[in-house]
Amino acid sequence: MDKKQQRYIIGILSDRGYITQDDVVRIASFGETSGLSLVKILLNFGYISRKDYQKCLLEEGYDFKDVRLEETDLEVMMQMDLKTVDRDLILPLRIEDDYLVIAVADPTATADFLLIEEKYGRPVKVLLASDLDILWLGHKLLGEKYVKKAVFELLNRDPESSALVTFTKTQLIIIFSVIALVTASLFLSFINTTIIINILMSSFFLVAIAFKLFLALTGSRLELFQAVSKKELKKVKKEDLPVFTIQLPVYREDKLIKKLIWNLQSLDYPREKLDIKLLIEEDDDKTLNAVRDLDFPAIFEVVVVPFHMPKTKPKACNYGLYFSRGEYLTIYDAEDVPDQDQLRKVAIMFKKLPKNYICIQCALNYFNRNENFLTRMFTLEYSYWFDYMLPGLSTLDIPVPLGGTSNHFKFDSLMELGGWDPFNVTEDADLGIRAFAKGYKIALVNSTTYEEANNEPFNWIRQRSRWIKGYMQTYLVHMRNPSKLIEKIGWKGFLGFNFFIGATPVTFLIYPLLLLLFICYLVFDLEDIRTIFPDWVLYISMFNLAIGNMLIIYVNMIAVFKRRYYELILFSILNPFYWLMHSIAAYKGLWQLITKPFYWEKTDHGLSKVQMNRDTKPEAI
Amino acid sequence: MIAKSNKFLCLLSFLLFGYYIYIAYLLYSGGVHSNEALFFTEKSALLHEGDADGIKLGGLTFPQLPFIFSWVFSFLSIRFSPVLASALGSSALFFIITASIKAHQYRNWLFLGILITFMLHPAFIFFAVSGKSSYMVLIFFYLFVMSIFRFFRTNTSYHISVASIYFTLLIFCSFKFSWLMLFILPIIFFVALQSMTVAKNDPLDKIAIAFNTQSIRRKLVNKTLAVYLIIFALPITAILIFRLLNQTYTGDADYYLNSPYANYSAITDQTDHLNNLADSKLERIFPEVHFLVTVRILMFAPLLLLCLGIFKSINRNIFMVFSLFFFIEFLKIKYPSVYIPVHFYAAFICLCWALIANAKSIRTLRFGKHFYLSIIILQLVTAYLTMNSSHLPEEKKYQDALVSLITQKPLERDDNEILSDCIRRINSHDGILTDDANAYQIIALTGSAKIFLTPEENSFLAALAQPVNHVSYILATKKESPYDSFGLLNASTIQTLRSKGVSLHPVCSNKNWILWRIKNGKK
Repeated sequence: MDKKQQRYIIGILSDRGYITQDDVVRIASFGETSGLSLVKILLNFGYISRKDYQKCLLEEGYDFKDVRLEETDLEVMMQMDLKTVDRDLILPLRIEDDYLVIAVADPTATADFLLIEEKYGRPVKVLLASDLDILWLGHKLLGEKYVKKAVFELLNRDPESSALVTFTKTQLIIIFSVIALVTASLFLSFINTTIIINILMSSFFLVAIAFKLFLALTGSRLELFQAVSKKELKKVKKEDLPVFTIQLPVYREDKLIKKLIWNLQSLDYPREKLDIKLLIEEDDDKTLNAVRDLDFPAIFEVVVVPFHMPKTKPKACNYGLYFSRGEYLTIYDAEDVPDQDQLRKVAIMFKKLPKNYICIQCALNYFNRNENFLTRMFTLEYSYWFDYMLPGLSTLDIPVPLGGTSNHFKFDSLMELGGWDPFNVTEDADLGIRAFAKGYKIALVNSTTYEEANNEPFNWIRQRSRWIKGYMQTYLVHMRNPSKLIEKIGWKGFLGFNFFIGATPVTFLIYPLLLLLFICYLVFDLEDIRTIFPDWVLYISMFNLAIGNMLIIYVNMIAVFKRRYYELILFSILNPFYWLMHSIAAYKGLWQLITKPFYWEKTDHGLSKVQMNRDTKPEAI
Repeated sequence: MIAKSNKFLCLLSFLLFGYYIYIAYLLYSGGVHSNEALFFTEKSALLHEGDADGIKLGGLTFPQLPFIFSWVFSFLSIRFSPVLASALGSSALFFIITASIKAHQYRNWLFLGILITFMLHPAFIFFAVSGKSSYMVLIFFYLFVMSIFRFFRTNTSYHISVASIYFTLLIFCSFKFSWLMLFILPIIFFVALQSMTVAKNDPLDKIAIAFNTQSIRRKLVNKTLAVYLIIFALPITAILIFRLLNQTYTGDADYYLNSPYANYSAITDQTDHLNNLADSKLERIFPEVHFLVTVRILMFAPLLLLCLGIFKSINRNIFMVFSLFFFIEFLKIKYPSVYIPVHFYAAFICLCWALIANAKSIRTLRFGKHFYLSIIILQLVTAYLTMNSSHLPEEKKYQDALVSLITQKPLERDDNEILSDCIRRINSHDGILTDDANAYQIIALTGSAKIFLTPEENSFLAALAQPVNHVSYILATKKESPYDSFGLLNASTIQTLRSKGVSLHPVCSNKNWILWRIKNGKK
């Protein structure tokens, strides 16, 4: 290809009517402030679709090569830093006939070619390629340094906080000692041991649930509190807003890409101040092709995450951190529909809060709540979790386990914490505890992100088993040295952590056992049960089980009130059945914790037939 | 401005506690006791010392919350524990009410009225010094109506759920309040209707539009149902669970209401009624019969008239007052032979303060503050008159005792102290066969349950069949005693035992009881 160009790409596109003169001015100005290459801005900030770009260049007589099939020389490639490749979309491939073969997305960027010629000391031979292929190849071959950092940074810096080791030696000794003690006691005195276990189980169940009710009531006191008011929102000027990075980790979400763009486009934040990164796994051609095939301009940059075990979302997010430009950073799932003013609210909130607040969590809820039983129950659960429990924890100054998405961080503080733990499958919850232990605080803001509730039982169990396994992992990690934990987070935080993070999987595990006993008592011969459980034990157990169930149903009932989802209130009565599903997921999670602790159970998205319509969005709080 | 400080309120509540304790001590040492306090004392003594089933005693004794609170104090003094609890509880009620008017524009005037009431109102002094559960009923009732009023104002889930919790606790202090649910139903519907965004102000127009527009109708139904569930789900399930526990443990779901071993009013309601049948209703200023109950309430709580006058434009609050009137009238219809205790009347006074506290700047009160104080003072007189004509002997007894304290006349001692003094002299190794369904007063006054063999203990039935082998004494009612038909050990049991050849000699007795010694009984 001839490197001498008569016209630059901006002129070609402008002449052909793909961009306006206004766009040209804006692009130039944005290029200056951001340092991004022209082609990067064109293709990733909503100016032109990839299809149009390709069509235009083809009409200009350029030819596109599939760079993924090209021969590469790693030694040559390694001389270029991945961040430069990512910024300029120019990737040196090999030396051929004394020429340096480079893959480029913009064949008219001659100034850049000259710089490369200077760097390598030889002329370049340019191959025009899709920017996505350049990124894919660049990240795959040059991303090792960053992906290793993404995986091992926390482990190297703070091995105590990494979930790479699931059970420490001490923990194993304690667990097996307890098992041995219980087994021996059962042999020595079966009835007394069973009584003690039963009393402990049912009392624990009740206390854990009573604690949740207390949290919910504390949280519900803040119902009318507006962390950021409409007046404050109106006051904020565009130029004062900081650059905001949005990470979108996806895996095989090809069906959701279009929806994702619509959702992102409706965010009320200056486009130039958004740094949206779509994190695609190296082997995820489906999503990459979906991005390639978009008929309209994309408003995000693609970051290809090279293959490295464990293949988890936190690893992808950590990888994305090295390519982010924002002062603040948040994560959304592909199907998320955040409130339009969410980023503005967060930016205002961060300015208002003391410096030690490094994260702001937004509420999550569901747009497809009335789809079926599962989505209804899920909505009930999320409503009380994000509207009551988390505000309750925050008010009481107890570590807040962050939600999976819509948690907004100060970028520098996140880097200081070492990012997410790639070995923990609820990395968000773990990060919340880790931040608290370092003296940082988490705030909540009056903004909601609407997600797609899982509407398929097996998919639900997969997702839930991962969450519960993650809670177990997080509990085990932070309980490696309980006295140290108390020192860091205080007694209140310690008890809160135990009853919230530790108790949650345990209640799900013991719930079916208690229920089974209760059913046996009701259905089978009373006398048989009474030989194991005398009257007083039966009284206490029944009290705990019945009150426990009643309270958790009640907490769910309260939850819908704030959101005005009155039609869901009766469904909270079905909670005991929903709990059984939790129990199935908990046992699956426990099994996986032992057999494959880092395995990321993928949740399928895009199953819902309900579409979020912003005009008919659930009533605001 | 002094009423604004929390420390000051705490200090004053503490002084009030001391004041109540002083009066309570004078009455207690003068031999004036209430049945409920003695019942709590006896159950606490059995829990501490007896060989009885702890779960049954601790878990099913009703009213449950006041009993548990009283039991906590039994670690300090078993005999005085219910009085300690009621004095402390009444001071807490004072603190709660005064704290809730702290932000009120006319807080100093209101505060003065509340202080006068708590110091001089005969009913409030009665609640504080009698060891009865009334203080707790009023605490939860006040908190409940406060939360409901706040919910009406703010429409927040916090206030409605807290109201529900208070209501549940209220029911576990006085089961009859569960019927209040029926009378709150229409208010909630009205509030839900008011919250609908309909371009009409008149409630009837709103109803017409709401019922004829599908979307509003659906919203109204959903919201009304949701509020019903949030308020009532908790108390209803709590009652069901408690009944289930009663059923499982005793075989009777209503054990906590009907059994004299779990609820002292199972017997006193009947004895009070029998006692009143003998008296002429016309002797009283306003006998407690239908419709006149409302007049009695207005006479007891004239503050209500002031509140109704001031807040007549706030419909939902006024509805709340009327629902309570209907509730009391309903109780009279539902339980015709049971007299309404004075704490139900006093609930109206608390309701008035809740109304005032939730209407922070009412201009009318500015002109009516002297009138307010006059009514508070008038209320002391009307309360005296109402309590003096009470159908419940216990209320009259305390009223007379308080008057006697003021006039420094000797107090009328409880007749049962004769028996308890006698029992205290008996060797603790000698057992006394006793049925605490009706003899709880004597056990409580003795101050210890060690010597008594009660039906809660496994060996009771064997002892009843063969007393000679198990006990040395039997405590039984006299034939003319009003308690004679309510216990296992009565005049006819003694007759039967004698006919079986058991040799019994009276040791001591009073109007209703005889303590029998068994010749050749257990040593």
